[in-house]
Amino acid sequence: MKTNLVLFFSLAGILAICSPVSAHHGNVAYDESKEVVLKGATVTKFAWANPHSIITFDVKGDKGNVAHWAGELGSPSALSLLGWTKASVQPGDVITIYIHQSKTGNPVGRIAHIALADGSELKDSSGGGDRGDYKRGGASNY
Amino acid sequence: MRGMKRRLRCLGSAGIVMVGLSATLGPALAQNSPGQAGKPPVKIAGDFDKVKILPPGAPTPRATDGHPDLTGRYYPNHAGRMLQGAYPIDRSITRQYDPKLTPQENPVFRPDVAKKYKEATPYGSCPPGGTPTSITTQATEHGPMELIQKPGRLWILSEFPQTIRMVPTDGRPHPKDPDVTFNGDSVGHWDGDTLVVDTIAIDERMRNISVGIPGDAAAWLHSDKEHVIERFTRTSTNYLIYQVTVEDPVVLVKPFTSAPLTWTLAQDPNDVWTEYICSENNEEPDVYKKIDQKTKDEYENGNK
Repeated sequence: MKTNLVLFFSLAGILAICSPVSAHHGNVAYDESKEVVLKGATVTKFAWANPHSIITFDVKGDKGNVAHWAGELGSPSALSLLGWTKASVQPGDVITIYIHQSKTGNPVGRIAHIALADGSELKDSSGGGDRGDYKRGGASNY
Repeated sequence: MRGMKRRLRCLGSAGIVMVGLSATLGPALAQNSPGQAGKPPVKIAGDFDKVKILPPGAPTPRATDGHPDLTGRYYPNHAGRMLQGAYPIDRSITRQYDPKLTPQENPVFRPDVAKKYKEATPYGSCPPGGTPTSITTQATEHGPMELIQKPGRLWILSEFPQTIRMVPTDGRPHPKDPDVTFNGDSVGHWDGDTLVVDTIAIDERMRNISVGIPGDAAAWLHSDKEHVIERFTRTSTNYLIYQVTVEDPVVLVKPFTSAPLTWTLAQDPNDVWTEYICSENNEEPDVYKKIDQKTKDEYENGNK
């Protein structure tokens, strides 16, 4: 199992570079060149919503300060195909979040995937984004 | 129980990523995860490894009046199901047309007004679709369009943005002075086996999205002179061709006509409507407040 997870994390990192990352609103606001890993994130809200689902969560810094984050995901219809439900994460859950952070450095971004407390993984709907975006190439139907 | 499901997901995810990786870097989409030696292949969430080009199926179904029956639920690809960008899928399956076979020229804007009308959808907003955007925007949203045809009537339902259009097909003309609405005033008539839908009086706040270059960043506005002509042709049971022409002498040098765009019939009898009313995130304004204006501008001006 551990081997699987190590493999997953390694490959997911590569995928983050290889895959089209996209969104309904576009993702240029987010730094898609790297995934920020946020361990010990405490979920404060999971909005199972259109056009983007959103997880808000708190992350404690080294000095005990708490950053209030918000991460976008795909729509419920897109995430459902990947095994998500409205109950996949709940307030109080402590999870690890892999996120493409805002270029501004603000605590907001597009979630790439998450690891739940038991180690299981849920992936966002576009290897990255929501349902596709021409600007990222490869995800539109043209 | 919940924990068990999550563990199963974990196993699936590891395989999913491996398949995704091989498809991304390799020449063809893997049919199954290579997995670890001696272990059976693992299931890919959403069955994205099983996606393939749909065969034409039976001949075009006919309505009792002899016209083709367009009734059906269609996806904007060759697969007859919803696709998305989570896993690499061959372009011959995902795209709606092959630019080598049916090239499409982008809209040609009048230079004196191009700046005014080429306007991206504002970052984080969720306006109604309008015509033809409620159909064309599925090029990036990957949502379905459902057609319901009755004698003298066609209903066009789009999932995102959730849109209902009712098109009289009984030969009536447009009203003399139709009210301006988001979807405009549409009337339809048959040209052989093609249903031609003619639309005017579309609210000028509605953008044309994926009419030409796909995506919100390449959206453009139109004048009150806009005239949209859509052609629906069901070439077989499984395939529907949609082609749109936009005339707007105020904005365009010449009319824009899309390539014939392929839609395929949903194959899963359990494929049902998903509510996609794009307003809920307006309740999460803090997310969008954290994006600064500079990056919003970059998004909105990306394709100008």
